[in-house]
Amino acid sequence: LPDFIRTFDELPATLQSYTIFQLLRRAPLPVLQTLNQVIEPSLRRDFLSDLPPELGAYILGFIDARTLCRVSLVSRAWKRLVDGDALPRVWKDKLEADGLWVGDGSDEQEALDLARGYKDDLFLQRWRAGVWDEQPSPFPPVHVKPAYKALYRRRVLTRHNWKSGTPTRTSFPSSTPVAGAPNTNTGNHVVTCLQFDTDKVVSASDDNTISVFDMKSGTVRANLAGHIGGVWALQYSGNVLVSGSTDRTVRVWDLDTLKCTHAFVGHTSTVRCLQIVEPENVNPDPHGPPVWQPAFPLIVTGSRDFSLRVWKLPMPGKDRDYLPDLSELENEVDPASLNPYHLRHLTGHTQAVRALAAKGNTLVSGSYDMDVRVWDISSGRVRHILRGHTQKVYSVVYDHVRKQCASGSMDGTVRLWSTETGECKAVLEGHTSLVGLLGLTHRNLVSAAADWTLRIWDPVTGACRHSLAAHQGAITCFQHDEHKVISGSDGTLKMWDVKTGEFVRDLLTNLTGVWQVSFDERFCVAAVSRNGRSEFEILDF
Amino acid sequence: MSANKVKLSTSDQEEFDVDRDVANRSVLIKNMLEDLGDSDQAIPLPNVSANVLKKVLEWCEHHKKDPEPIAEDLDDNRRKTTEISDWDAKFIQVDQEMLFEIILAANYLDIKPLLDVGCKTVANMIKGKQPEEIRKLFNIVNDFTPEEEAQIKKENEWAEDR
Repeated sequence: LPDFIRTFDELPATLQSYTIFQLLRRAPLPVLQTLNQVIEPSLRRDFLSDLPPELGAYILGFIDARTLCRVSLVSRAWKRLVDGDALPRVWKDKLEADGLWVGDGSDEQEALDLARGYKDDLFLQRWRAGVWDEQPSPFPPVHVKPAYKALYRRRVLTRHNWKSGTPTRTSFPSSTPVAGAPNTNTGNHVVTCLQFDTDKVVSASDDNTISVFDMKSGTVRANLAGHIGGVWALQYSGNVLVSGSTDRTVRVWDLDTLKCTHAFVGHTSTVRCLQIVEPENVNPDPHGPPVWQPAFPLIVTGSRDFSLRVWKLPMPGKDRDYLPDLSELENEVDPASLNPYHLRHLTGHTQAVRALAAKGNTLVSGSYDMDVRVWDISSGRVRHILRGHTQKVYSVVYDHVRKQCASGSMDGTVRLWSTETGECKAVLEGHTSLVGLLGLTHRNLVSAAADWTLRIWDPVTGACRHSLAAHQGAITCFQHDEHKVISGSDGTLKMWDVKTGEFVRDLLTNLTGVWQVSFDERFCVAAVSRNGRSEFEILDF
Repeated sequence: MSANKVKLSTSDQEEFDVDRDVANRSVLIKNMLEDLGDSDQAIPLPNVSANVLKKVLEWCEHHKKDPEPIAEDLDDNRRKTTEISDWDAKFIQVDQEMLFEIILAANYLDIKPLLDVGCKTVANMIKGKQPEEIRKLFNIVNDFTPEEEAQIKKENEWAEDR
């Protein structure tokens, strides 16, 4: 036998094959069966482990999410390929393939937040700790890998819950008196502003108050009193809240102590719009020292006095309080000049300033003088005056990625402008009356009008993608994200599919009106009017 | 050598005379031919053995008259479906080792449609199967501890629930 094997080894390859073939022909069935058990597994291939990873990922690209999850259970090597966040990224590809990827940088940020286990931006994290401008950073960058699988899971489940889940509903009146305090509310005031987070709901109304409600129970934590006119503009960031009122003042509140810490005087008429401009790290090197723009947080306010003002955002507890005696300032020509927090007075509009949008060093304002102005915040100079609307401008949004802005007007059009050159890129026609509200995300520009409809536009070309018509009255409020639009009109709160433009479902019905609506991943909060009383509705998806 | 024929040489030193329009299905070969101009020299394919090249050329021969795919179409459409034409399905009925080699060769030779046929075939083998069935199919050993397996199963519950 050794001789036979030696002879076989010396044969050329073709003769070897022939010999084996001849031997197999003579083999009895049980031997063939045994051989088959040896041969067959050796012809099997662990494709995903043996192929180069990019080809493995390519194969997985043809596989649905459910099977992908099962694939991750096959072996350690398979799990590494599917769930690992080194290149190639299988779940990132899946997000893209299933239309769940936005592509403006927000996806990566959200995936990082998920991996880190909490959501926070660098500025707010430092601001809360009271050390936001210190160098070197007391918070060394944490190196976590983005969790694309978790992001996919979150987006699929969120979409599913909002589309077909039954939310838990909490209702409470908007005028519950605080224990011990006199109740001055009549119960049917206009809710002008609404903002919320997982902890609280903050609202403002035309009855001069700002209310802070507990998100879980709906009970009133505080009514912030101080304004002597209706509050029409409000925003909070971290623990600091800024409000603007018909009493012409801007007030800053500490949300920890629930006290007014600053009162800014200067505007000579109603403060109609405001925004906190948070610094963003514009250093392209994520590991380098942060370069903040603007250099510190700002408040921008727009007023019926035709002007805008820029203020430094005070840090409650750190920057000293500023509560001047307002009656003493009455006689000052420009009381703001005495205010250490006042930075710029932007003049030029010839009618009331109705809307503003700011990011980085750029501010866009819309006015009843039919113009839109683009300002350089740090110098206070006008970069462009955007002319074209033939009626009052009611709404503006700013797209800093594409360096453009959009404006909605009483003339029924939305205009798309380049903030670089100042040219009008497109006139978006279709609405038949006042376009009072605009919203912008990376993939969609949404407008809402008094003609009972909303329209979804391509923010690049300005083409109208969908017209959302089912409401029976002027649209009073809406918000949208990359998947849905939620809009309020006289009797209902409706949800729409942003991609198809189809009506999905009524979230609330039998209302007298919807004042405001706001939503995040999980909650939808609406300020509504029902049977002549203002109420809040929290829907937990 | 005729201008319509191309000589290919495999890793195991076999030479193939191939019609030019057949060989052109491979973007790698097509680019090489364009760079070389007319030449009698065999094009070396050191990453492909004769038995695999034979199979690949069989596919190229059948598909030599296919229109050039449009670049955008490729990216958009190829991922949405795992459907394979009848002829391709029959063609790709080979043992796993050969399927593996075809995928590698199609990738190396840059024949996108053939790469898709191979990858979709593997994807279809995996689709809808439980992990244990997949392991059996590809002769893979489960190297997770029971605790790890339970943990991953828990992580994946969301996908099974719907």
